[in-house]
Amino acid sequence: MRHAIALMLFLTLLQGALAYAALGGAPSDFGGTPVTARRLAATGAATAAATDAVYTVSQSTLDSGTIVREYSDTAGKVFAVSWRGPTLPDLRTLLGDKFGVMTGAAAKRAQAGHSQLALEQSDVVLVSNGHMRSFAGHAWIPSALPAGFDTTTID
Amino acid sequence: MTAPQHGATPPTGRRRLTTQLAGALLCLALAACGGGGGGGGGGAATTTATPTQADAVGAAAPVVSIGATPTATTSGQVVTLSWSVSNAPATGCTASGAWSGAVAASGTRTVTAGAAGTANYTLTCGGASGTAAVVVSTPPPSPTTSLTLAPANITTAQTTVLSWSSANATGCVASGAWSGAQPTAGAVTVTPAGAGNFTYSLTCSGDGGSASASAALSVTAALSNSTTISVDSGPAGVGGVINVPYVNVTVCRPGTATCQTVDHVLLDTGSYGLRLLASALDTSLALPAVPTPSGADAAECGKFISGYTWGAVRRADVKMADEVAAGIPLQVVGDGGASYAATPASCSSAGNNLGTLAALGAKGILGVGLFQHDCGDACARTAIAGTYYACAGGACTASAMPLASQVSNPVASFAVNNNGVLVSLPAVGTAGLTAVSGTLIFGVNTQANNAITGETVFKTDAGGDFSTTYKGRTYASSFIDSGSNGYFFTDTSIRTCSGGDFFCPAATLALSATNTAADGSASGTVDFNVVNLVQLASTVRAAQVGGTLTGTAGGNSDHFDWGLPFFYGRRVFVVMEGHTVNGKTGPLWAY
Repeated sequence: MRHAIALMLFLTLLQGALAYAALGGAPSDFGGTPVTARRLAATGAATAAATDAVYTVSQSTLDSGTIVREYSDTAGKVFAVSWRGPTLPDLRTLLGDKFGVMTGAAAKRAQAGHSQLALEQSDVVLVSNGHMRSFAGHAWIPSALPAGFDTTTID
Repeated sequence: MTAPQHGATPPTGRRRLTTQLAGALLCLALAACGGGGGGGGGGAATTTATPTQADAVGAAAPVVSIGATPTATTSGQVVTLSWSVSNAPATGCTASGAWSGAVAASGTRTVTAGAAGTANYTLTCGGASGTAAVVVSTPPPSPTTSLTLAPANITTAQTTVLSWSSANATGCVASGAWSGAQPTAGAVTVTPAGAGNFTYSLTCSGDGGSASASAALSVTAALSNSTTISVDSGPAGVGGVINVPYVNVTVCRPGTATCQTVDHVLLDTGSYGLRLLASALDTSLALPAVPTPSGADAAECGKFISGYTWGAVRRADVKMADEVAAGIPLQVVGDGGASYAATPASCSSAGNNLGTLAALGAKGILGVGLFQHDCGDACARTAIAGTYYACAGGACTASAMPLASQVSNPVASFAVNNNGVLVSLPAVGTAGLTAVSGTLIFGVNTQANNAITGETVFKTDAGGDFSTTYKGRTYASSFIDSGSNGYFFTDTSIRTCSGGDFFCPAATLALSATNTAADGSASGTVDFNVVNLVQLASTVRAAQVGGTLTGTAGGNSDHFDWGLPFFYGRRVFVVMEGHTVNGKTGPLWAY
């Protein structure tokens, strides 16, 4: 039986350049003004709603106002990313080696429009939606998700 | 003045003769009065004095005859008095009553009727007197009328209201640019039949006379504010498109007649500003480069979900219908200028290059959505990688860009009809159509052809989104996008076609969702169909298709993308940021 998890949130404002991990784990400097939120697991909590995934969320607000979040496992490897805001972030940096998967898939969608992209592969799940001045999306590596991680919590 | 001489010193022996003369004079006076006196009054009144006993004893008694014409009138009107006196005394005659002073023994005089009442014009000659009574009544008030046109200057595409009012009138008659009997007050809507100057006149009459008024209307030929939208198979070299709305756009080197009309430009309510493929433009256009604040050549990266457009920022006069956006910045995608040769990595990081005819499926993108600038204040404040760049020597670095230099929605720069657009497309059945023709109308509530009538206004948030509730879930960042070629939303119960983007339900699905304005001020249900894409005839270019936003395991999305099928059979209004219609300020949609 799984025990519920109480998530504790620590916000740390980091100064200066910060090495971010792109999806899949390759470290990179994403830029922007970073805020890091750590979500830690603890056992023995009362409710059974959550699962005992342990991960860290790093949030960065870009100059444009777009918010980027990177979800890292305990080993520091980024297993999920998300973005929301008026401009698209640098997806090559954010997606790491999965960027090529995205462009390869997008190139095959001859009939589809320009406002949505949904990709479901064994190596990456990616959703990118929106329009100029209002973009949002997320991506994760299914095989890299921490045990019990609920992908609907990515926001 | 002959009569007094007869009576100056009348001998006694001539009394009979004198009396006879007086009678003759009386007859003359009666005849004269009866024959004259035309006018408003009631004929003539003549009185003849009877000589007194003293007259009979002494000198021949004077005989006074006086009449007035008319005998009934109104204050201020002219009354003619006529009198004659026989045997006039040497002391002459004196007027009294409603007139005064010494008067000759015979004559006429015009007097002006005074205040209401009976005016007695008495003439006293020695011992004899006569009086002409005139009944004076208060005159009926004079009518007044006014006639106004609001506005007085319109185009043939506009209407104006002619309104009038009057006082003391019982009826009016129109003349000039209108005609016929009219009520004493009213208003009519005037729809001009053509250009020109027109005078509307109105004469209103009553007991007190009549009054006229007129108003001038200037009608100038309406400039066209609409252009055709075609949903068709796209430009030569592009195949397999569906639900892509195209328009023609004319661009000119600023201030010159060097122009080119580009066909098959994608009409996109999901972006802002004009982007044209360099490959679709004549090199002879030679559109001037827009500089960055540092003086370098400005370039831009236009980012879309499907990829990016990279190219120069140049300036052009942009024309559609009779509307002109003079000298506005646009993006020339894939510009051949040396400054723009290298695409920055921070631009290509959006995905694939859309800057080709094959990738874009169009010769350009006309962004006529909810905002004027494609980036806005953020890019004016600071350099943001992935937006504007300063390019020199083949290298480009991110640059801030003032609003006036940002690629902008041409509609915002039109002289008139510049607050938004109306997209009107006909209905498309479940079998789809091989082509659809609709209308892009500029302006909202600015002319008869772009008035919001039965449509509901949905305000959006600062990003241009509202919320859609579908199957119990609310998607807070939903939008209407003519540049999306289907309804795109999350519903894992609908089978997708092979390839995964579109839905291929076994039978047409009749679905429903509820849109709610971002400020909660309006809400409404939208019924829509999703047909099976692959079961459509291969020639179909317009259909009620949909697709998935997130796939079967794609997680959450905040979006419901109302793509082009939403526009079929609707009038969809786009009102840009800062403009107010129906008491609400954009950004907002109305449909």
